Amino acid sequence: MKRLSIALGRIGATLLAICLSLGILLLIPQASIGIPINGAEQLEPMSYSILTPLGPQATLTPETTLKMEFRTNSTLTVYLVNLPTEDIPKNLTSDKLRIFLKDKAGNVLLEKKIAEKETIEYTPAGMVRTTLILLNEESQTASAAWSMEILASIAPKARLAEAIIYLSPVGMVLAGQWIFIEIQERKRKSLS
Amino acid sequence: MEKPKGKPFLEILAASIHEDFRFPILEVFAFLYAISTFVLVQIGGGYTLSIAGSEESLAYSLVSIQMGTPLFIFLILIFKNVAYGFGSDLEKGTIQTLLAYPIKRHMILTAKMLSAIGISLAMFLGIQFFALYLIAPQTVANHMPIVITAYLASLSYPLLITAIMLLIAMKVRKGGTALVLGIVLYFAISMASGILTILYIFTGNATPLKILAIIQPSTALQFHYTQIGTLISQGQIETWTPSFSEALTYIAGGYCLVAAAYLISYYYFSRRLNI
Repeated sequence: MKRLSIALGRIGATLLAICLSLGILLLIPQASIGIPINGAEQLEPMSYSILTPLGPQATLTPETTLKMEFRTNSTLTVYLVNLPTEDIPKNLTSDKLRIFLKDKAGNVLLEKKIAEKETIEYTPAGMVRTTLILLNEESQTASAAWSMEILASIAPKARLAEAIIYLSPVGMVLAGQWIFIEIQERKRKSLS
Repeated sequence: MEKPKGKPFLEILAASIHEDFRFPILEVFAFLYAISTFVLVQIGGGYTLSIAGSEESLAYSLVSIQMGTPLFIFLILIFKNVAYGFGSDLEKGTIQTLLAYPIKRHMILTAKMLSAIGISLAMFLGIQFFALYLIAPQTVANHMPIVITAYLASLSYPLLITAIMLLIAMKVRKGGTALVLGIVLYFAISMASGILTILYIFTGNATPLKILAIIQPSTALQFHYTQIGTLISQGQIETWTPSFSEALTYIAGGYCLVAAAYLISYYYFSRRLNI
């Protein structure tokens, strides 16, 4: 029983040591790679615009995050798709575009409605080609200004934080019982 | 009443783990493994982004960049446990206590190695795969055979060094001396590997690299994914680009060497070591 407690306690302490290292990594800020790209679009009602934030041939790797900032006077839907630009039809109606994206659901990395000012960050889980689609489904013309930059980080912060959230309680419970038993044992020894 | 057969083995294993990983050695090394794994990927991040042509080569470069420093930390832990720890056991006579157990000598050595190498390896691989799944889960899941091959190729050399260090520790029977000789051996092989690579780059002859790939199979895999040219005109001399199956052959060859080295160590400990 004592050995099992020690073994579990050591595993817990190891998990806490890993969480500590991940916590330190979380404190390291992201770095911007290259120059931020800016642009503006006028979107007719029920129309869309295709953007290639990294250029038509470029790919996004898991160590990088695509940060996108939008300003619009209307409500737009932003799609980030893992498809080369040439594979996306250019003159569809908004309904047909939705059907096309439904067919390619596996390639849609992100779908988000934006209004006024929004910042979206996307970190891929693998190597992806990123093409951005801005869809205006409103009845009036929308204008949108955007800015994009690529950020390099130690590891995706959201995933690091998630790992800490799950691992640290387990580590604390396992290490805690070990410390508790050790204290009890010392008390017993000092009394005898 | 007959004693259960596994008990002495477990007793020796528990004692060895207690000796090899006194608090906070395990925790400090886990911390170092985790932090160096992520920091190294960041340093190589830009490199990966610019050179990785396909997701397959991205998976390979991610693993090889991520493994660099943690593999060195793994070697330090092995040096401490095998060369210093086992050498000290022989020097101080602690090994005699273990030999008093009703268990065969090769089982004693297995318990010692399970503690010294097994736990270090499990911790190293556990943190590596955890980091890979945090950084690029999709790439890792899609190319698991490449990831496993890259680890197999890279671990062959440290395991060979460990087997040689084990033999040295048994021969010299002194922890400190075995540690120094182990470090000297590691740097000697590293220098030899550098000289052989330079020879290839300067002469265009791939034979030195092929010799190196037997001891360090990761070289073959590295040259399979990243073509490193020679200083000789590309028109006259072809660069060495082993196929994937050729790289696998080198890995198999490397593990044959590792197995042979461990077999010699086991034979020496079981039959030749007079204590």
